[in-house]
Amino acid sequence: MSAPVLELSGITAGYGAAPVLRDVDLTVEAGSIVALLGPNGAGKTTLLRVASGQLRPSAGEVRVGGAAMTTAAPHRRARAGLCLVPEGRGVFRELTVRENLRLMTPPWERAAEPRRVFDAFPILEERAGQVAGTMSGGQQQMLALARCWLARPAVVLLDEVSMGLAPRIVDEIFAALTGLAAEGTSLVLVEQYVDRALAMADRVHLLTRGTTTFTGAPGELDRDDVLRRYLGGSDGDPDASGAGRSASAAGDGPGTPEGEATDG
Amino acid sequence: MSDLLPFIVAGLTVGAIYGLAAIGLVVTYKTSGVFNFAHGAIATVSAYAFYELHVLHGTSWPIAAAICVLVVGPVIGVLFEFLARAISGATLELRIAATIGVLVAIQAAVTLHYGQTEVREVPQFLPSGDFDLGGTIVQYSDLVTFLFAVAATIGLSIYLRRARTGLAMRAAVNDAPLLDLAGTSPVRTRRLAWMVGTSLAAASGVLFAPVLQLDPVLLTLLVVQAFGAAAIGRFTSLPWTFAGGLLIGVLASLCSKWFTDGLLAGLPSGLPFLVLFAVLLVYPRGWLATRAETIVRRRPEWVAPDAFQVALAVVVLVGLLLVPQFVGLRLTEWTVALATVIIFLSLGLLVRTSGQVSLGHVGFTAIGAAAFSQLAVDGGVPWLVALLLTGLVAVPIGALLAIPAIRLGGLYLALATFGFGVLLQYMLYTQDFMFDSTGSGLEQPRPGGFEGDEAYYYLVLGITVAACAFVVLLNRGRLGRLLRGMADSPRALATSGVSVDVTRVLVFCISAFLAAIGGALAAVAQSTASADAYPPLLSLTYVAIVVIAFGREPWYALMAAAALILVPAYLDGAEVASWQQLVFGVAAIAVAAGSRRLTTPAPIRAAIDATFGRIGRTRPVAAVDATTSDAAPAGASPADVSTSDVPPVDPAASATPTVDPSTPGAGLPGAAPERVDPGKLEVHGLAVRFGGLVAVEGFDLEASTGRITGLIGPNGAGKTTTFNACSGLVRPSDGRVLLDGRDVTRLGPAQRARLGLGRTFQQMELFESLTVRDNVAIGAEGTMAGANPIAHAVPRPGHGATVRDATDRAMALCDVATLADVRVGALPTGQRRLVELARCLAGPSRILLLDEPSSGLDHRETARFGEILARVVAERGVGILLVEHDMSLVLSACDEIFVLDFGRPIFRGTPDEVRRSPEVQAAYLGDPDVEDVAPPTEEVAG
Repeated sequence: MSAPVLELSGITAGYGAAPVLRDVDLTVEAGSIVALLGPNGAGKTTLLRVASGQLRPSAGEVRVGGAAMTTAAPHRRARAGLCLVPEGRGVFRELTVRENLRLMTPPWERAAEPRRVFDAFPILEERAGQVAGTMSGGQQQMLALARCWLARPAVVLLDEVSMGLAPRIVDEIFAALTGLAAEGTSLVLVEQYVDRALAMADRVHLLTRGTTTFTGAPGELDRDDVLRRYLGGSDGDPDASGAGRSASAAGDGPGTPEGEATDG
Repeated sequence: MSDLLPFIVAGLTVGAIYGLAAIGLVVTYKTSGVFNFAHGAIATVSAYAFYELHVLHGTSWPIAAAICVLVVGPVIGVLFEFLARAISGATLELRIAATIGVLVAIQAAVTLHYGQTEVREVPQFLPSGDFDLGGTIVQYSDLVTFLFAVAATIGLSIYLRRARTGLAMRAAVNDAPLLDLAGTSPVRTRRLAWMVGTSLAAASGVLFAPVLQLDPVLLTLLVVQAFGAAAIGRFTSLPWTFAGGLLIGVLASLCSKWFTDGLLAGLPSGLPFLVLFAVLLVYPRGWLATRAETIVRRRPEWVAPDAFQVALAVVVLVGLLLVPQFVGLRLTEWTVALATVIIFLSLGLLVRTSGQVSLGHVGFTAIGAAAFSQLAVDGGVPWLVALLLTGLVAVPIGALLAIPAIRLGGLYLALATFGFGVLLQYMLYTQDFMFDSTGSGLEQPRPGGFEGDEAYYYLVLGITVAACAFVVLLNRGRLGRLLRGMADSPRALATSGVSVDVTRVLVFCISAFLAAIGGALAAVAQSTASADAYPPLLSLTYVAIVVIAFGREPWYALMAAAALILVPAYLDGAEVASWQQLVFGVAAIAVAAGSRRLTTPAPIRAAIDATFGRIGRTRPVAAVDATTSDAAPAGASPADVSTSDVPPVDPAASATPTVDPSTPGAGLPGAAPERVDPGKLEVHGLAVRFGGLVAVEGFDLEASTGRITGLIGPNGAGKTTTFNACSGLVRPSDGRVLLDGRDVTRLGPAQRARLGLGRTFQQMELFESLTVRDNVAIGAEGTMAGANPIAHAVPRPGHGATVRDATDRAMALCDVATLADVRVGALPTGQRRLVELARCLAGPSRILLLDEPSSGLDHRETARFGEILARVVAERGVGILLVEHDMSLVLSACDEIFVLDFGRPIFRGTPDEVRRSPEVQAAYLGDPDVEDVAPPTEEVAG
């Protein structure tokens, strides 16, 4: 079997004196889809930043496609096959759609590439000349995925791609992700809609307060426990402030007894 | 028409070179964010390199030109990219100082190497010959210049639209971290952009070389004219920038035909600067908007003990009183130096205290010298009165210069003041009301009884001491606090009730006043003043020196004046001035590259502290993050913050509220009343659209005093936009905001704050370089300063005590009293949130808008924050409108909750109702079954 497309081991990282992540491991095998879950403040975005090279860990190792990349700049990891779609919209807002795509395409592939993208996202062809920042949030998110797709990455890290989007648009985005996965691309999903992420993933990685509290298949996960973790405010779980992302969370209200971690 | 044609042709040729230089400037500015004031200096280097190669060494012109444009230019570009990277984390004044330092240093170095005596000329090297164009003889060389510039502009425009590296340059402007993630190195991209930009500057230098005699100042200024062209192109658009260059060239050329005498005779040379100034005055704000920056200003942590400062003042004063006894013939220089101290203090007030850069300060001194002479000699006004009037003459001009500061701020202010300085020289210096055109110099009389050099020295010493005392008092009083606050966060200052525009105008007026008086005193010391003593580029050296000097006011000004005036007085030689300039330039670059201003050297600090008995105070406040210390209540542990600066705290004291909630109304009159008047914030039919994007639509909201109202919704629902519309930071596209039934929709943030609307920010807006106490004090006195310039500087009787009381009570209420003397920048998130809340509560706020106050807090801190909120509402009767992600905080704290989704209101009710509402659950979950509740904004938005 080939090396994992992304391998994070023993990662400790943070901003300033306080580590946000403590000794976290995450392995993404080729072709797999990993849901990276955890309440707000658990360190999910920080972990993606470490993986993509935007934040240097104070301890631990990052390997992309088997190659050591712990200190490599983001653009070097991108060329090694890692693509991060950051929270917010991963597009160059002042460039047109076509320019956004062209930036990702080597000159020799220029003729063929946009076709592939335009087939997947017809709206982008319609709006090829439009400045990206003037498009709607959903269209920008599609452009971000399209840009990523053109880079032919081995692994795509997605930070809250559904944020601020209407459910119908989220459906389209997830359809595109399925298409991306069908081409053999590995995905790491950080997602507020837990059920959507779980439906798609073949591995789940649960972060709580900067440490891994579960890794395994989605079926092994105690879903209610996860939802309780998202609730926030319960005594033993200080960082769980991302409440309200689930129906049961909103229904439980404050003061729910804390569910113990079901370490896998 | 035909008699205009020659002027148009000449104008197009020169304009094309301006345009070429300007697009180079725009490319580097846009990609790196560093505006290169030294762009002209690059042209100077290139022109001299061409001279060296072509004229002195006989290299053929194509090879010489190719070396200049393709080797010298790019190499300089690479160096600039290094510099730009080194200063990327520095504050604006340091970044400006860096490229100014380059300009000053290059000028000095060129002057030192080539001398000033020998005339150096480059013959026209382009093809000779001419042709007839509609009766006008056109030189081939002009045609070639023009075509080359046009071709370069078109080529560069296409490159930036088509080529991947060109696209990457624009992408780097837009979002450099994303470019990095997309697989292209932003550093390499920027380096390439610098190389292109500096090569264009080098090309303009080569093309300018045969047009005029080589002179570093002239060459620098010629390319500086490109600033005007870049302004026309909004510092963004290459074609418009080039067109701007052509326009300026042609207009200036035509002006030289039309206006040959009178006021407008200076127009041909002054035009680009007039254009620059005018553009900055009239272009719509949005066209010139710069990216918002969050650069933390670092002020020196160490301040010498007061006892030392007093002792130093006495020693320096005694020394200065003895000066006439031993300096002999150099007494005039000493007098000038004293006057220069006032000039540096005036500039320091802008640059050092309020973080605004004026590059036209020499203009004020020139105005001072000219106005004084006109008043005292021609007007026969008594001496002292003339001196004061001189200062007052400069005040309206200072106010005029403040307009770009208000409109655009930052870099554009620096550019506008630079334009002003050069314009003044070209157009007004030679006028009769300034220095007149004869060049003989203006008589500068001395007052009766002070005609002798020594007597006059003592008079100036007296005035300088008074000016120092004035500036020191200003800096340590309310105005100093407001100015430092403005440098850190104008937004927070405005939401504290201060009309920031008034603050800006005020500081400019005071600065102009002092600079004019300093200029007049220096001129009088020399008995005459002529225009050539006030070259506008000297303003740049002033800024460089003010940035290099260290110490508080007035010490940095004394140091600066001594370095500028006294050093050359004691060193002989024609080249001293150039060496001096070189040192200032290089030092400014070094300081800027270090990203912080110099501080008093550590051994001296230690020695002072040892002598004045303050051992252990030199250690700066360490940046700590108490969010990790789950065990201790944040803020209570003295170990969280450097122990040297925070007195030990009894943990029990901060665990229980310092102000006993059972005794509301306990006592003190203050800016913040014990119990606020009832009030209500209402929003009717609010809509905010950004371009095509609908952020909020059809939203009705109300929040009253005495209760906590929640505003929730998924990310991107429009909550912060609603807040911004409420507090006046965003103008609604539709709808009204009412406070106590009064329509405040058209009022600015400061006015709303004064009416009782306080707010905090999700990304906290604190005065990072100030202490907790000063932060909170601004909250208390912001409303008092308001829009009144006098109240800005001079607190009314009793206000001082009121502010102190209100500050102490607000700090106690929010449990930050023990941190009063700690700099806010060094505090962990939890305590910063509390400081921001305390700042709000110190003022007269009745309704507080709190934007995600729990973000970044752990559960203990969140719980504590919730308690404090409840306490504030119960005790003071204020109302709170809360945007919050932490549902448990919202559901437990709020009396009523409004729910937004996709910019539209979807629910309003009590916490229980919200908990049960299927619409709210759907909004948070994205449940497809109830998809219809979320209107398809996506369609509208496209």
